[in-house]
Amino acid sequence: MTKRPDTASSAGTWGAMLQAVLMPNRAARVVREEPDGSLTIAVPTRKPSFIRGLLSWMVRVPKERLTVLDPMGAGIWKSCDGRRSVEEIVEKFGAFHHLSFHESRVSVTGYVTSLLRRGLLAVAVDASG
Amino acid sequence: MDRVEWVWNRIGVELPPDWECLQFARDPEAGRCAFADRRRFRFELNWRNSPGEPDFKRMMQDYEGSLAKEWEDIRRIKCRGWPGLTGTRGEEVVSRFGAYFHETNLLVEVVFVHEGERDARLEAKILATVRAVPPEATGLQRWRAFGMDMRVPREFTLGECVVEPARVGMRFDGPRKPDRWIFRRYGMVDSWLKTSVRDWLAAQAGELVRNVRFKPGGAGGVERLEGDWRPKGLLLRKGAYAAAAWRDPRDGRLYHAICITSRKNRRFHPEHGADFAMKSCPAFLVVPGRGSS
Repeated sequence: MTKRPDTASSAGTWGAMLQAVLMPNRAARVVREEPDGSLTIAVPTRKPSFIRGLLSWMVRVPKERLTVLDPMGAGIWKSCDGRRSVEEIVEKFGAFHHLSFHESRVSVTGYVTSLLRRGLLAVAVDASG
Repeated sequence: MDRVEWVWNRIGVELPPDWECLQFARDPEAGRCAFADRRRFRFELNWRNSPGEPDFKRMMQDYEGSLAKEWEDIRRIKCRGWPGLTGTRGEEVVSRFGAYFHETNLLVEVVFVHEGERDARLEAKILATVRAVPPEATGLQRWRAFGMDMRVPREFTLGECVVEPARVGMRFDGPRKPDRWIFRRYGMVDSWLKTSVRDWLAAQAGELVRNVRFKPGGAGGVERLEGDWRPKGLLLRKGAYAAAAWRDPRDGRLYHAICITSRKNRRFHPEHGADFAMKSCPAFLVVPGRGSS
């Protein structure tokens, strides 16, 4: 057989991620909750360092940034309670939507990544691996 | 269910149900499918088209030499008639086996990755199921992957495969245009399907299909339609269009099969209906798009 890159060499690359625990940003607050389950969440913004003095008077930076989560996204955000691991959230999401583990993993981690970028969540990873 | 069948590029194997395919190749000449459990890659299926059986003894020698840099405790093994090598790489034990399938002219390599120690029983169990899957007597080639059990004309090639969470699509292209068979599987249907399957099927046909007419549905709530395939463009070949869609009550997923064929070449169409070529196999788990080609 010819030598090919080993798939197996990347084994366990998602293991640490599955053990991570997600928690909501303490500074985030729910502004509105719709009957269908969707949420509007406000996250305080940080003023960029270059907007100071006179410029800060001229350019108004909003104090909060609003993010609207659809019912499915709101369910994931609520699951991130600081106790459940990503693996547990993936399992729960997969069971509810009849998805396989990796289908659910890709869906959940992709969504969670966008929530992390928006500052709605924080992540705790076990440093011991 | 104990094991789940996977048939890809004329190779069949039965794997534990929680091993999902995370990587695949479309190239019939050489490629790989890699399967993982929750934590790590566990199994790899490599193939290469070869006109004749290679010299396995020499090949194993060369391979052993090349692996010596990465592996420790390398030794030769044999399992179910498959010659192979096993060795330790970090915390993993990796076993590689090779075989040549005369029926399909494919040189096949199977790789097992074990955490901690080698599970010879598991290897034997799986190796017993690895086999050549030549075209059937009907001229159809079977594929079974991503929750779909498909049959396409043997000369068709896998032109596209899109795998995303809750959405899989495989397109097989015939040697002549506009021959093209497409199979799709959708999940989380209750979240997005706000109409009937019949209306959805009609909407999927789009403006390139004219004279759409519904056909009597088959068993299991299958909706079928036919029409004329009229692509935009003077030089593009026109043809016949047949499609079927149904929701499988076992997994709640929506299955969609499309056959576009030239009018002259109606060998498999529309006598049987597009759903004849595809059967859902909800026991199989579906995989994410990461690493898909």
